[in-house]
Amino acid sequence: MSVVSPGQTATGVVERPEVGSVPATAGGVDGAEIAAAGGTTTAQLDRPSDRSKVEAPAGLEESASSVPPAPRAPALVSAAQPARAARTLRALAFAGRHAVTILAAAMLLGVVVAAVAPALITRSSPFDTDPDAKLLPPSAEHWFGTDQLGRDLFARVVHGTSLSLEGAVIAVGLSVLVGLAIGVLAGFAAGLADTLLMRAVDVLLAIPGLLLAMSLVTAIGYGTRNVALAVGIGMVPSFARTTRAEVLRVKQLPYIEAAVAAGARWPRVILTHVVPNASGPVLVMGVLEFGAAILAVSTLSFLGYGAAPPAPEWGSLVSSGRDFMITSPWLALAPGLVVGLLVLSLNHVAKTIEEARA
Amino acid sequence: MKFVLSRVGQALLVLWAAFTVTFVILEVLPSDAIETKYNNAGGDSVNLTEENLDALRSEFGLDLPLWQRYLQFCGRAIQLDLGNSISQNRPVTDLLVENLPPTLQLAGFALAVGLVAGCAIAFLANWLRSPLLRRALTRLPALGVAFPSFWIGLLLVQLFSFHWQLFPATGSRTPASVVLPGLMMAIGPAAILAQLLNRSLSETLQEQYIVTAGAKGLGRGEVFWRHALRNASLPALTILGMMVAGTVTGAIVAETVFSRAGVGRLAQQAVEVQDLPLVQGIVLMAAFAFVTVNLIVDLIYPVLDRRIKVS
Repeated sequence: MSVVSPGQTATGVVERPEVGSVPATAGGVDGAEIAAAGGTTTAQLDRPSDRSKVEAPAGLEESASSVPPAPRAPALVSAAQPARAARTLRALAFAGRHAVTILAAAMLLGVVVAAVAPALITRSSPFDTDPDAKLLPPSAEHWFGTDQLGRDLFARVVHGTSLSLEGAVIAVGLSVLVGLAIGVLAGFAAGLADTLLMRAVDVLLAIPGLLLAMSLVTAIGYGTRNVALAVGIGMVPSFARTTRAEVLRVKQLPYIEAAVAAGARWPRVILTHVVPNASGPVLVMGVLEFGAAILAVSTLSFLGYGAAPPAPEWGSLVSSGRDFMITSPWLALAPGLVVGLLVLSLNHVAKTIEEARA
Repeated sequence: MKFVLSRVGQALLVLWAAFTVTFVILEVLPSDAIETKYNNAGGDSVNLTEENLDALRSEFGLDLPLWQRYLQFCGRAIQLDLGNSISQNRPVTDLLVENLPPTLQLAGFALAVGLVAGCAIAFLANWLRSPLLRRALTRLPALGVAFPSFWIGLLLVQLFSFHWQLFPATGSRTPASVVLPGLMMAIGPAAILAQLLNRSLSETLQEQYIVTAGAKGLGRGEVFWRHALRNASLPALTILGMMVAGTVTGAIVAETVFSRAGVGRLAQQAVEVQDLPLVQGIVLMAAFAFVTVNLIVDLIYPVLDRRIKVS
């Protein structure tokens, strides 16, 4: 990605799918391990309740609370309580097994809330200056500390979310649409059109994403929208390739033949049969590329081509914090940490979706 | 031979197309380097009239029709003449040659570190017996892929320059100045390589011939080195081209973060002053590096893996 690629930043286009699928083995292994561990704990803790339920109708722990009143009241109490405890424990075991996924989902939720309604997360204003509170280190009051004008950095990061994500949304939206169109066209047309389109895609791949984005920004000017456009164009090749591969696979399936035999025209076949069935991997890729786009956009902003300074865009925040690296390193490091954690969460969620689909 | 020729031809085609794409992007879209240079940069000292600007445009050949300029550019590019930099008034080729050595040093160091680190992580993740360590090593690359490289660079500066004072934070003179930017550039490629190699290694270790080799009485080390690693490393070879392309991107960010001289810095400055010929030259050089490495990989792949039929 990436412009970065980042995106094709340091990270590119072809390797993206691997990002999600490589740790899959690890996830499977340790998931099973933890599952096994969780299983034994619950089993052990379930045992007392089983024993006390001897007279009660044989039932699973879940239905233990709804067990009809047994003749002996004390037995019921002791039966219900461990059952409840077991349920809590099972929930805890579930949480433990999926701790990383839950954390990642929480991070994504937080970011969405910050983008839509930043005031829900922080009450501080991102623009209010306070000369008495300059360059304060992170504290309970100012989670990320304050900058050289006394502005609360956490508030700036939170309020900058929508601006920072806007670029990534535009970039991914553009590349999905264009990539899908090129991929479907190439996959269906075959022959010369396919060759030409794929060669064009190869050319785009040969230019490093960040450099391509920088040339585009040179030509069309600075600003978040332009940066997003440039990043999006750089990401088209990977979507086009994935879509084409999927279309080639789906095209040969019997139901497509059936649809054609039933008299459906090609546009209808493509829109109602091929695209929906080919879109799975493209979706997973979209989530991954969204992370790559965030990295790419923030890198370009860091280099100074994105939003103009007073706007609290994440990459620009890191860039302006650089001047205070020696005295107040948190100014540059905290916003970048948020970017990294967000992309990490996105990649993890993409991996989870991929595993669930498999 | 036919295979070699067709691959070389393909590479040249991609290069030509990349050249055309950058030409189109930079020439067709609205922007005026001459005006940027003389009217915006100088402020009150230089305020040129429309006639002066036109004279300057014809000096740089910017007044000719588009197709003529394109042909001119093509003809010159073949002779390695990429025109003059507008902002520095010097041949682009000279500027590139001048700035290439520090970037090559940096990229070479970063690639070497990235290769070694990536292979080491993938190897250890499959070699070690402790499940905890194995899992940790398998997960580690996810961090390297997710965190922005400029942030990693700043973190390295904070730790190794300001806190422990081991390496210089800026500059490009001393050999030690390569270390931090090199590490920063190495982390992304290392993470990608580790993920790819780890997967291909753990897949290879499930193969029948690995079981056979073990059953024959070969030691674990021998099975690993002679059978598994050799076969598993082939897929990793294919991303080498991408890793090289990645270093161009990495160099732009690393040289900016560490204020080093080099092609990356040159690119960043060229974009800032809208120096089109210079940007074009750098893009062309990056595409050339990418295409060349991919060509080499394509050509040696059949030699390393005889199962691939030359076709």
